[in-house]
Amino acid sequence: MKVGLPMELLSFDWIRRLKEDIHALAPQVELCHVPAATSARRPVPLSEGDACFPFKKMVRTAMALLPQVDRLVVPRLVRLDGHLLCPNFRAFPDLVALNRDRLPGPARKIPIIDTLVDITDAGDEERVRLLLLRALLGPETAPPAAPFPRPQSAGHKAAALQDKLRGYDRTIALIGRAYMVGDAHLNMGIPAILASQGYGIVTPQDFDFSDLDRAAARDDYYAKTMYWRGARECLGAFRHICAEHEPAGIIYLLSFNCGVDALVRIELMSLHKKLANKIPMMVLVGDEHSQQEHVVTRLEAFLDVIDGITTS
Amino acid sequence: MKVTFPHLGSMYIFCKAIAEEAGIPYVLPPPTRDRTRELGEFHTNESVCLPLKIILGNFIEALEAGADTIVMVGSGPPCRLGLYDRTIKVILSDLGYDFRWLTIPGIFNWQAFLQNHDETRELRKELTPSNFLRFPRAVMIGWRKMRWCEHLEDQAARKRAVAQNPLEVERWLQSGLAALDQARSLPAISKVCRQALAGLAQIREHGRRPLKVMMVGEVYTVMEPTINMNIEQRLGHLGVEVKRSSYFSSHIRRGSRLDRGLLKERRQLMELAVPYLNYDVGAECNFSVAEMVLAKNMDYDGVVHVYPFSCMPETTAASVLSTATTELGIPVLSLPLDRKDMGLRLDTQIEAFVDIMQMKRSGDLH
Repeated sequence: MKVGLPMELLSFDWIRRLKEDIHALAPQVELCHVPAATSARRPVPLSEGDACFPFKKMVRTAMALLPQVDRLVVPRLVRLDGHLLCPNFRAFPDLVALNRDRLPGPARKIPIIDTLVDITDAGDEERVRLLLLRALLGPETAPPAAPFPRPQSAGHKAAALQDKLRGYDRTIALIGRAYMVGDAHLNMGIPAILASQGYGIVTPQDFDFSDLDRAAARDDYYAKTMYWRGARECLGAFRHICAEHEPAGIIYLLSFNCGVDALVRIELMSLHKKLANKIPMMVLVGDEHSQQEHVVTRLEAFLDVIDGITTS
Repeated sequence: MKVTFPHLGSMYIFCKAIAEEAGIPYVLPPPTRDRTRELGEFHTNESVCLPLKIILGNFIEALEAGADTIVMVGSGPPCRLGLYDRTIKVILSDLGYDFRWLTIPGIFNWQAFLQNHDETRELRKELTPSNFLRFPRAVMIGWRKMRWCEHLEDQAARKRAVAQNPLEVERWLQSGLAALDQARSLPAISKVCRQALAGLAQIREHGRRPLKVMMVGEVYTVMEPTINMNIEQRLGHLGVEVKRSSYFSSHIRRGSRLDRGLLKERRQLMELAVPYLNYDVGAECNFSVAEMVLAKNMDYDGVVHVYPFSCMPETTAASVLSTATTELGIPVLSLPLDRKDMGLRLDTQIEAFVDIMQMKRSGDLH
């Protein structure tokens, strides 16, 4: 059985663990994440409105996967690690279904698995995992004996980061959502450009989320906790990386029209003003129409600023 | 202590009434204008939604005019409105303003109570026993004024579409609201409003059956005319009766969870959206979709969907409405709003929209 799971979702650690779990429990399931080149270019039937590029890309990938698979998994991501995701993710399965219903041919009959993902603790993980497996393999599927794969430990992540930065004298903190940092199309090749200029890159995803969450909690008060997981990841990473890693520069990478990052950007700029050691910081806003040359020029200027500071 | 609050349609009449009746000094921000918007834009970024920019602009102008205590109504997740107070505080502090803050919780829970207790600690010291004693009457006067404001605006929206001279409607509405603002007792409030209603009633009508549209979308955009470019009035002058989906009083009643009828109505609306959305996306998204279905069921001629550019829930609603319009056969005009320099463009869009509705009504368009 071929099952589609859009590649953009794999930027979430929980989805990657789910994939690992499905591989182990149901070897007959072949997971597809990347659509064939021909179908990826097809426009989706419904208006995409003024949604952010990552969301549009995710919907397009899901739609392009439909003709290639027997089932499509587009979980309704509401909460991970006890914190909310952006409201767009709540409607993601509905928008895919509405688009699917307007497709010509057999693709409109492909079932969509839209299990509700509302996870705060390990118990929720097991419950959601079973619901999803039953939706995929049938309602009689027994609860698996093996526990759901746990996230990498903080120690393991620290060692991996040490390995990643070996050989680099200087590092840049590249702060952004997991899908922005991890997807070369969305991040406009920034990690590769920085690496080619001799900079090691530290991202929020190099740390255990609970550490970042604790760091982000310093800005919370009473009812005003930052309730989006992605925002906490970025705020926490800023505080954590600046305190522990002394990067030569900070780049905040976000997507145009991202409602969550629009507010995080304000808080990050405010935190940056209060930093004791003035680390250069740049905000890069990416969109579907962003040009690579434009990005390269801005990065070159930013690296010149860093060079100027470190050599003066 | 000088309290201030943001503009939201005619809500300032409600807030002013409470402050005046309770004897609390206040500063009314200047009416929202280009400078207000520019201040908000300058101190935020391009992806921040327009209501936050305008509210920030209102607060900066009020602080410049001498206010030192900001009061605003809060909200909860998952939309950005729930973090407006946190974000605006960061910006104002970075700009060097000295102010105190009080968020009226949109949702009453334990955390909101603790926050409220903390935020009012200093304020309580400055309020006199007289302020506290006068407060219940102040709220009653404010509430009555708000309800009358909304009734007047609703009646004006009906009359505008059928008046021979719609400008007469604007004159009666503005004079009615001004008199309401000045009224100091419950009988005086009723009297000035009845006068305004009588004035509206005597305006001569052209006799044609007006087109009817439902205006749905993000609450602030629906309620604040400077944000929605006075779309209610623009449509009214083209002979369209606009039914607004959001009123400030209904949000207060819903937030307090005291009006069971209203809560039941909301649950029923959520069900209407189910063919399109199977989960609560947040804010007004599901309701925008549901109200479109409702508009179809109630034989409205069209739906105007207004929302701030980059609004996360309403962007989703706009995509859904784009498919529902074909299925339900009801025209929809989706307007993501951001900058002000688009009045003429808006007029052109509205005129085309009105043409479509008229052709559909006369059977020339299917």
